[in-house]
Amino acid sequence: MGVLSKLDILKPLYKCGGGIYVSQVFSGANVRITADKAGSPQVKLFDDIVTTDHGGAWLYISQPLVESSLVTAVQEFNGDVSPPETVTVSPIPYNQEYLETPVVIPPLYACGTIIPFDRIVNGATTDVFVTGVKKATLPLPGPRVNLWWSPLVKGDEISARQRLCKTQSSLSTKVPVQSYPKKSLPKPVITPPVYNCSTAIQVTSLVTGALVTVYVDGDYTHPYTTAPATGESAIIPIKPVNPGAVITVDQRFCKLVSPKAKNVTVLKAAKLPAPVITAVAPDYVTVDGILSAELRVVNVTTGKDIGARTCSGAGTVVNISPSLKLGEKVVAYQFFSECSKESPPSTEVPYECPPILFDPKKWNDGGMIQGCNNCYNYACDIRTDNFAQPGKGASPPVYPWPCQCSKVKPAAEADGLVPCKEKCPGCSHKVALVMDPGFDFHWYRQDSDGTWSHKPGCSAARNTDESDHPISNPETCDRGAYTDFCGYFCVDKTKVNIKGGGCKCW
Amino acid sequence: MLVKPEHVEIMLDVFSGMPNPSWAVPVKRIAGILEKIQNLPAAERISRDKLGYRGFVISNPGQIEEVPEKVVAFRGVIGITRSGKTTYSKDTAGIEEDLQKMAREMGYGDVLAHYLRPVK
Repeated sequence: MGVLSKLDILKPLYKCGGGIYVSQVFSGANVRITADKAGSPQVKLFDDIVTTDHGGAWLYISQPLVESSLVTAVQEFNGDVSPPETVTVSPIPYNQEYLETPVVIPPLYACGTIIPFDRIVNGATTDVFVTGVKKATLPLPGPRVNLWWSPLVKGDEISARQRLCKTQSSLSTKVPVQSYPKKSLPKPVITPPVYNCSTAIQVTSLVTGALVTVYVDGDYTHPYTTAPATGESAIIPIKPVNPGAVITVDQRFCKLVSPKAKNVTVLKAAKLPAPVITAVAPDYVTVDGILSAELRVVNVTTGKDIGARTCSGAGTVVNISPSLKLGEKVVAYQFFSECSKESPPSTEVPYECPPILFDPKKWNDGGMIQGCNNCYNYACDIRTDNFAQPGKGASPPVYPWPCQCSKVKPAAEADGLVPCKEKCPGCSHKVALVMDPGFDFHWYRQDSDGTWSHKPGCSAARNTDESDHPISNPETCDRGAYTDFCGYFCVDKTKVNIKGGGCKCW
Repeated sequence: MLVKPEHVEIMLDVFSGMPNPSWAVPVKRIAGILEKIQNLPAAERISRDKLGYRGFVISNPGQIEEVPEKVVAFRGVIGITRSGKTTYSKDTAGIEEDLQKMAREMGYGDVLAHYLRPVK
């Protein structure tokens, strides 16, 4: 294997945070997290092997984060080291006076095994209270998190408070623990296939908080493992099961037990199917693969490995490095690192530019989309739903008035549009700025077929000029009152940032 | 803009990139227009998908019961939207002219004059 995927740190990181959530992990890799601050020696925050069945992990760090320090995370496996992920630690949010109050999400059922929270400040230390008594103190990832808990007791009231350094939130509303109100629980469903080296299964049709019990080969007196249902769909960690074995699950609150799921037979991992690449971007690839298997992405053009992580099932994003160039092809493999040969390769998929199509249906809804996206939105092919204004996406904003080419051009450039005369590079597309001097600006865009289209204000997008002729050249077409031609720009949608101030059309 | 329920908003639909001129008025300020739209002869819808002057839009953000959701006046045709359905009438009562006069009173005379001038 060549390059492990660059880790993704859950952002933002705050001063005094006590944990860091990372994704893109290759299970079994050694994750190293350090913090650097000018004038201080480097601090080792985490250095250990991380196992994960879905590529993500919450890591408790050795000491609280320090404001303005640079946190760096890498993973290493068999001598391969990922590119570093770096994040600067932010000051405590909310004016440093108080933290947002966390929310305990109801309902909570007796014998339930999780407490779901919302509005957790990422990394904040959270105190959990049961009927007014503090029962746990630990840092949590935010904003939403499920805390695994000993079975809840009917009549108890759960609340929480969070803090960073000495900045504390109010105590949350107390949520009472109640009996599950229905007489039966739904029958869970195991998502097939399950392989003999799988370290997790996906189960659906669950009730949040229910205890999920896994059984193997019909041995209902000795459950194989248990885990809480973190939602209607949950990943349940398991130890590998022999091929040919039969697994099933049920879910329960106290004595109320669901019917057992339909049996699933465990398959041999040696027959892993090829994964399916569903999207290719310069810096990542999206893959539908097997939960808990390892994924490896190869640049076919260069022959080099460019990313690897543990798969979280369908829609797994694999960070890749170095970035792909236009036309380069990628392929993915999946494997269980401990016990099998890897799958056949996926179909080769090239990195191509998404086309810019004249697609009136996308814009002309006669309602909010049409009314709140103007010629600038349309030309950039970016919906903001608030009448984007050149320069407003820049920091600090650049104002485009009075309406003259000399004012609107630099404002658009501040948003990331690049002046051009010839063909636009990479996946950027060409747009043209015209002016009704002193009154208004207007934009045209070149679609992938070479013709031009535009959207006058809140009215419909169209590909004809003011004389109802197709537009082959925005310099010479009928533009009505927009007499000044200001020039051409290239729009790279991944780099341009446009914003508006509001919408009154709709 | 915060619009009180007893107000409607009037927009001069004229720009492509810049926000259109708009202003809020009390419902009683357009009582005459609301009266006039009651009995107009039917007309065909006309397209407003061009650059430049596209008429006026009266909207009803406060959802006042006696006021339609939207009234559009453009080139002699009035579009009236009620319960999501739009009907079209001939502007035989000079509603668009009333709105143009109001726009001039609001200080948008130069914008109106610019976009209503004949284009070479």
